[in-house]
Amino acid sequence: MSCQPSERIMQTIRVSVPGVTDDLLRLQMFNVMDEFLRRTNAWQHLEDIELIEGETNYDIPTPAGSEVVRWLGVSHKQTPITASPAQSGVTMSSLGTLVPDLTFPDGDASYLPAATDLHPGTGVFTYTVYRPNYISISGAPSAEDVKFPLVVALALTVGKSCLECEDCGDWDVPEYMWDMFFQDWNDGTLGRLYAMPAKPWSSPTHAQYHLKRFRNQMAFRMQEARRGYVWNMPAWRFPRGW
Amino acid sequence: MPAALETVGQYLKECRVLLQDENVPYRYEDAELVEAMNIALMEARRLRADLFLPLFEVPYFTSTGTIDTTAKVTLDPMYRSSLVYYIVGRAQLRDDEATTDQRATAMLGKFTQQLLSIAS
Repeated sequence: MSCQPSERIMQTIRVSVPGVTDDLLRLQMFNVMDEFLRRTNAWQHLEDIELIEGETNYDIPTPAGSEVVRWLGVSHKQTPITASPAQSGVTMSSLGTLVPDLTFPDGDASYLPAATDLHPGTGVFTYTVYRPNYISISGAPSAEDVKFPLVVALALTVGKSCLECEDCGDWDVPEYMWDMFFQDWNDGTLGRLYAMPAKPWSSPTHAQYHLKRFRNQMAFRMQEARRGYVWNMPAWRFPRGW
Repeated sequence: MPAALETVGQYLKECRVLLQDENVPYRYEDAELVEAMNIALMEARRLRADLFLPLFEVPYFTSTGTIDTTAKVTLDPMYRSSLVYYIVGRAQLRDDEATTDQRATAMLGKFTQQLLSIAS
């Protein structure tokens, strides 16, 4: 018996779907995970990019077996950077970050205007993403800028190359996800399998039930991904961005 | 780990049991049965493409010259017996006795039924 993290969900589905082969099960589970991660942003990844003086374009490395879904945010010197709609020359509009020193003792979040640098002068004012793992910044970094990394937050999904390798059912997603999203992926995979026509296990009724659960769970996880795994957290973060 | 119905030879042997054709000279030659197996695999590909994941390549076993009885037949164990029913049914189609026709129809139907439904 395998002790891969995916084995629990594989076993659960095998007994619920008589006649299904492991190859098909893996294919549908991969498709479900891909849809889930693309929809919810549940797989979030931070990457530090070392800036190079005068260089405005950078490839973004991602973990093995993953692909970028979308960019959740970019910051430099702890300052969120604004994305521009695929063009350069957009002016800086961020108000900077709130640091603990700027929070009053009673807990109110407020600025001390005099201490807030409205023009941090990072030299990196905006960024554009022309393709998922490639960033273009509007201003060439100065010698001062390159002392600090560009921090990017990415939403990832499973890479399709994983399907083509021999027996790699775990697809390099963080291991906690197999437990955290067990019910979600289980329902999604069951729903897709039951919805297939002309198979021994075809069952439109079961498909409808499980796919409805899967959609509901994705909606919940999408909210959860914005708030973090903390109960009752507000979705916003000050001042804005990610 | 050895398993049932893994090689061409094992399929031929099992088919001959159902065909009551285990003594030489055979009524159904090896080449005929191997050709029936090739057709069975094509039929399986039509009905259940998922059985041929990930490459969807339909195996082919040469039925001319010496039959390689050690050649592996890659099919999920759950569906190997279905292949036997198809080979037997197709072999018996050539006989024109009424009882054999019924048996051939039943075997071919069983193949399809096993691929498409749980009850079989």
